[in-house]
Amino acid sequence: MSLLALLTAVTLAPPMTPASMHLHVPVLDTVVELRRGERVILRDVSGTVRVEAVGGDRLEVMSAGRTDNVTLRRADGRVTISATGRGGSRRSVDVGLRVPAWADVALDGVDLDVSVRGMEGSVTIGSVSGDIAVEGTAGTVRARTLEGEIVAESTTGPLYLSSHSDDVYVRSASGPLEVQSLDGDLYLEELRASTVRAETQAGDVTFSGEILVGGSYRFYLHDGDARLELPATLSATVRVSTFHGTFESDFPVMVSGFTSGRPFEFTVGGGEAEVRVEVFDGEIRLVRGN
Amino acid sequence: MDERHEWVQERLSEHLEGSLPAIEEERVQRHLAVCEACRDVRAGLSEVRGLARRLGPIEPPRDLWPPIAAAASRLGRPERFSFSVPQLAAAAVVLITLSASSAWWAKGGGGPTPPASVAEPTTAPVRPMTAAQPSAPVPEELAAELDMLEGVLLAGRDRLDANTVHVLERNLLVIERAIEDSYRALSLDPENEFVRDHLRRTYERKLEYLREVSRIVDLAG
Repeated sequence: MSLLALLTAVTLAPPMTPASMHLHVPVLDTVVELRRGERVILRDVSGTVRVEAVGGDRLEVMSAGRTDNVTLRRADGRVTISATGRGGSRRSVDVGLRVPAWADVALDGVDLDVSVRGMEGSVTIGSVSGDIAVEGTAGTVRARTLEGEIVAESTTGPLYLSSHSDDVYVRSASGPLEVQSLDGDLYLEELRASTVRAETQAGDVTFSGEILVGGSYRFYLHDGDARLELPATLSATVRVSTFHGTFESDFPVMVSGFTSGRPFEFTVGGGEAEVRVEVFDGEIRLVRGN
Repeated sequence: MDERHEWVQERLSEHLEGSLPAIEEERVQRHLAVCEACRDVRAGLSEVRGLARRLGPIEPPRDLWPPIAAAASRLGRPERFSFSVPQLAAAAVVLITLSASSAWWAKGGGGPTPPASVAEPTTAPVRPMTAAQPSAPVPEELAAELDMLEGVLLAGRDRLDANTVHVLERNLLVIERAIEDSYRALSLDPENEFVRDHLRRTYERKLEYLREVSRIVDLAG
């Protein structure tokens, strides 16, 4: 088959009844047997996309509501899904994808809300305005949005999350984590990650979770407060920097060579991990957890 | 009013007269470096003092006070922060062991003993930079790409919807404000490695952001 051959060009059927259209009941539209290694790409769409991992190799495209020009194209090891109106204009869709868990998925659009559940392959999401939710993924997740919240929960793979204008929530994640916002808060809860890097210019950071031996935990804020709830059994070297802020610790602190306005460092327990907190203007609190 | 701002504003007259003790003067300057609202108050007071000097004993013009009052009102409601142990004074070398629930004032400054209770930092709203504020020099190795990407935004903004442009520019203001804050701080404390690294990282953040803006402009077609 030619790499550029059009495999499937599907005009999605209209909803069965006005009632189903109103309720947005998903309807199975298209089934594609994926070949191992093929990627699933949904490009330049707006609307809502839900991705759910399934066993086997079958990609199922479900639609809800009016999506009268959704096409699938298979080429170069990719199955690309797009939705455009007449003249190539962008069309809003409400699509559900059941994707083999092993597949890599990439989704991007302008006004695009995305949810992804259970994928083991890599997931890449780019939206301009829209919320992103990720749950139970094991592969690498890269998600970014200009304006919208990002929520990630119960993930085990690496997470790279960026919302420029809104908050980011990560809960029960165990893979390496990089998360940033310009003008939003970062909520990192019940983490069990060996590497955490969190950065926000105008927002607060809240962290709770384990501090693993050999781990690295770095928090960079410009104008905001950092509240880190650390295990009572903490074993870490802690470096604190603030130009114009306050510091409070539930942990015993011993420093030498302290100069106000300059970084200082202290060790808790055996110092088996590295915690670094840099807040230009704000409050730093180290809270003893359970 | 947040006690930290109050503490500074109570000393602005002496600051303008140059009669503050050195240790308090340094602390006032550090605060002013990062607090636009208090700088506004200082500017208003300075103007009033200038008029008073020129005109002799006369009441200050009323129209100078609204901006001062407005600046003060932006400081938000007070939130107190109590210390359970004496705060650390600045010292070249100290050895400190603090027990549980310890806290101290880690504010930049020469290390005056702060008030018994100190308010939380105020998260001031983002405001456009004014022409009077200093401009931070752009790191040479980042300058070309920053220029290019800012050009992309300028050239592409007409293709973006108004809300997206608003959000993009608001975010840029957040970054610019962080850059200016850091630059002012570095001007006061040029040897401060933390502030230097912070300024550098903020520029890198701006670069990353502008790359993202470029992607968004591309998406707009």
